[in-house]
Amino acid sequence: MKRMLIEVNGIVQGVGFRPFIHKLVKDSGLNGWVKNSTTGVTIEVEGNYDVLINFVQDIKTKYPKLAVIEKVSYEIFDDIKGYKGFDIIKSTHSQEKFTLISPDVCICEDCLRELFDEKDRRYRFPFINCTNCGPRFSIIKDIPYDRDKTTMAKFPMCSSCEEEYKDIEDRRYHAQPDCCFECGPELFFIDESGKKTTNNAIEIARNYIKEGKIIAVKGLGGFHLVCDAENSEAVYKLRVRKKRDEKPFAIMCKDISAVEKWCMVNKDEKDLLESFRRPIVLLNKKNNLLEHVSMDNKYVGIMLPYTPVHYLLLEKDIDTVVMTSGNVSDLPIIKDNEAAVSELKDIADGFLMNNRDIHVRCDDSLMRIYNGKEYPLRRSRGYVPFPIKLNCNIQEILACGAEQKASFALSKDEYVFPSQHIGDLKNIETLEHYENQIRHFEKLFGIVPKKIACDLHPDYMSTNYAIDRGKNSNISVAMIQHHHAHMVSCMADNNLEQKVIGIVWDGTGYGIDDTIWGGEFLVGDAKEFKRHGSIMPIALPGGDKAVKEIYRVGYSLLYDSLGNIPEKFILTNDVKTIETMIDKKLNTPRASSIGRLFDGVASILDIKHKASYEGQGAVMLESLATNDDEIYNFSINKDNVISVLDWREIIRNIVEDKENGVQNGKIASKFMNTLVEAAVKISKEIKMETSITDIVLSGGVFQNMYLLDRLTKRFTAEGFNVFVHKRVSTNDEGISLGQIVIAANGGEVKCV
Amino acid sequence: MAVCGTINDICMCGGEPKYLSLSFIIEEGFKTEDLRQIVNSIKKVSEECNVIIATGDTKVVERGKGDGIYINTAGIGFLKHENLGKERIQKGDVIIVSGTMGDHGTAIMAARNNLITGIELFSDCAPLNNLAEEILSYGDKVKILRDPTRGGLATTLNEFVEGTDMTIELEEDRIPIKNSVANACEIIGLDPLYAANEGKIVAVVAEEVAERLIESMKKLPEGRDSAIIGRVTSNYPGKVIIKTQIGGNRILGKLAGAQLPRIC
Ligand SMILES: [Fe+3]
Ligand SMILES: [Mg+2]
Ligand SMILES: [Zn+2]
Ligand SMILES: [Zn+2]
Repeated sequence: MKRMLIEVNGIVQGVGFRPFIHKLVKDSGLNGWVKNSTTGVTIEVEGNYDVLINFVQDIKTKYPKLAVIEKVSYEIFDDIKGYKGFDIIKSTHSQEKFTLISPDVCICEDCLRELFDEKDRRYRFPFINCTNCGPRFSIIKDIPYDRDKTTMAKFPMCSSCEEEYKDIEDRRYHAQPDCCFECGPELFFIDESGKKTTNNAIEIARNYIKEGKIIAVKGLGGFHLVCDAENSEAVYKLRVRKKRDEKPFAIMCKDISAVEKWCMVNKDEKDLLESFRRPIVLLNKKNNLLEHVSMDNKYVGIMLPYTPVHYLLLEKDIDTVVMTSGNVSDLPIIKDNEAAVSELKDIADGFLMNNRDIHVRCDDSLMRIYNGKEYPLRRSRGYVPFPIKLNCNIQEILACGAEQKASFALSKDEYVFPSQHIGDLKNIETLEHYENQIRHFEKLFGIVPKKIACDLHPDYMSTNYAIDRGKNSNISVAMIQHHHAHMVSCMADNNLEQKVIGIVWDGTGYGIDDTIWGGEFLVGDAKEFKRHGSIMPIALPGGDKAVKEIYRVGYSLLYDSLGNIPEKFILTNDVKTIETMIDKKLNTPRASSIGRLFDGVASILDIKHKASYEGQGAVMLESLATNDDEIYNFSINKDNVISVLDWREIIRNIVEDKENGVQNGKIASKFMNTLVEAAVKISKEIKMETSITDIVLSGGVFQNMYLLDRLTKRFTAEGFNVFVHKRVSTNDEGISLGQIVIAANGGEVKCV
Repeated sequence: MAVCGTINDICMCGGEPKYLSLSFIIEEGFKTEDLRQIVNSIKKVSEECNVIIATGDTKVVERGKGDGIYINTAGIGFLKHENLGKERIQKGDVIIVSGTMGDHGTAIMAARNNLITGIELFSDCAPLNNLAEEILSYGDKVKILRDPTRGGLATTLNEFVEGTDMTIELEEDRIPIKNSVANACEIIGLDPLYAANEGKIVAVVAEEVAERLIESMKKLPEGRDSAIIGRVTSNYPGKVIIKTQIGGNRILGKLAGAQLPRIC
């Protein structure tokens, strides 16, 4: 007889772990107890040595589907306490507060079956859940994960539910959000006149959708705006009311066969769509039937239902709806009922909501599949707050991220916890959400940052936050170069530590020479980097104005390449002013940015002149591109030490092609092929000089699949190893991971 | 301009400007005609403001060693209102401006560079002694005043609340901005709230006197566009925010230098 004390770390709470242990114990005949601790689950059992060892082995291999086992450690003692039977005992509060928390999980197969089973007592119950599914992160206020620390605290369980909750054999054993018609939250509908209806709320909502109306629906992490996606009039109405002219909407399809009506879906995409995380997956359109949902774009973002309410809404004759986040332009997604009614009253005709509070807002995630792997564009619901695991332990650091796609990250031991999607920090509402979430994460994971990492840009709100917080709490603040952070983010994403070539192409980021970068060829690791190459700076008359009014960039490219702006490329009457601004460098910063080059080319090709959402020019170029292999001539100049791609010849060739009537699709293709060849040429130079053959690709420009794919294939053919993102986003959302790893290695530009 | 600047600085501290020093550094070859024009305008302004040019100096530098002319002024006056300061700003106070914002900075950029044709832009350079006197007649109801020169309204307001528990909340549609300035800023890509002003006052005053004060300021020619543009709250400590027409409250941050692109 021996006694064994086992500690299991990972996502082991709220995923049916203790019942699983109970079952294992019953089969093996061991005695003792199990409890949730703030660091995971602790088990003490007594029995025969071999049985104990087998027991540990079973924990490691047979754990429940939603559990993620990070570590199982155990000690064996000779003294016996003489337990009789096996108990689940109350959670303890230990000093070191640290446990992994589960993301929100879509409804499981068992619950789904019960939902539509007339004989089940939860037949059509909108809040059905069990230990394998349901809300988690969005309702948890504090740990350990117990009902009274969630927004379910205000719903005392009825006796039937309590019985299930206490029955170790039951699927709902210790399912914290468990409830039923009798004791659970209530679904209701509020119409245009403010009238609340509790009966038939689903039927009313379905009728609204069928009539072409717009409704706001409370989901897991916030409200959605919903309308019939096949009704173009309804979709246009939503565009007008939401002031969202051209940006694609995400849609929700009843099932895979509905998805296949609109899009091509391969095996990996199907698996991702159906995974318990239920992200929006960006898919290739099969036809133009959803042009009003996602225009001038060959992709559309689709997700499958993930809550019982979604399944009840998308029944029978409703199979595809627009499901876009319920917010007012650029503000955080709305999560509270009162706010929904007051803020969305001009957008939604009715509201389908309930009285279960959302504690943490969390937007839908946006993913795509590249080469059979997940390629994140927005890592949020279903993923957060699960950590990214590193190869080594690092100190506790807070990384403040960037600005427009703000997200932060916290680290502890070998984990980095990136936050959910936060949004654009220019508004105080978003900044508040950002600051609140930093505090919430610090509390949940018991992290007290010893160092703060932020971007080098002096005007980012996140930089201001970092510096203020550093000053007030006397913590040192590491300022990190934007593209270095992108590069190291992709390295950490792939667990690389060696020196690499980082090709980082994005919109704009603050360089160490106080100019704006964005077409970078860096060489280095988390400790240091060197800028080996970039592109010739592009004048941006009007600064950020030129990022929105991209014809300004078009003018600027033409002016620099040809010395004048040819008559037929002049679209506006501010052209003289813009020329003067460029000549005299008036509010005309320069940016070595590939993103801006795309903008300018989109305007020169007369595809887009004012972007109604960021990156629109690039998205449209990608969508138009044919599969040509031709390239334009280009030259790379040595400017002091760095190799600089001179785009003027490319622009001149584009103008010539355009004048000769070459199709835009072919020009777009040639343009991107040229960037690929230029990247290959510069990288080969670097390889000659440094013998480095590992390349990481990061930055928002690599949301472009044409470019990413061509680049990857060319580099592979040239003998390079190419690494792309797979766990965090390639855009600015992902840089907080890089910031943490750089700060941990002392790779910051300066420390304040 | 130089003279106005010094007079205004004294006014903004609650002082009554009395004596000015005036020094010229003139490059050899500078036109006497231009010099005469400058001296005349100084004379005019100082007489209007009841200020005596008490002392001064003139230096001539070799051709090519100066940039035409440099004028340096310093001034002293009597302190009349001791109770001005950001520590007196309280929740509930309101923010007033004495006229349209961004005129000077925009005019300078547009005019110096022949940037914009067909848009009339005037610099608003003017002495503020009368306006300041009017405002200061409200005694301790006036918390602070400033001429929002470099960095414009946004920078000045940030200085008011920086490091305090106070928030300044502005309403975009209440801030007076000339159409021509708004249009020019639109084209150049400048934010008029960060563009320099000359001859404008921004003040924080107690709410109960604000309406009356605006009425009396409007009676002065240099204050005819006066307006209440926002109020002091404690919602977001240390921040200046602006309620925009499209919804949402944009943060008017302190900018480190030139407005560099932030969009990635
Ligand atoms: Fe970036
Ligand atoms: Mg001054
Ligand atoms: Zn379930
Ligand atoms: Zn119940």
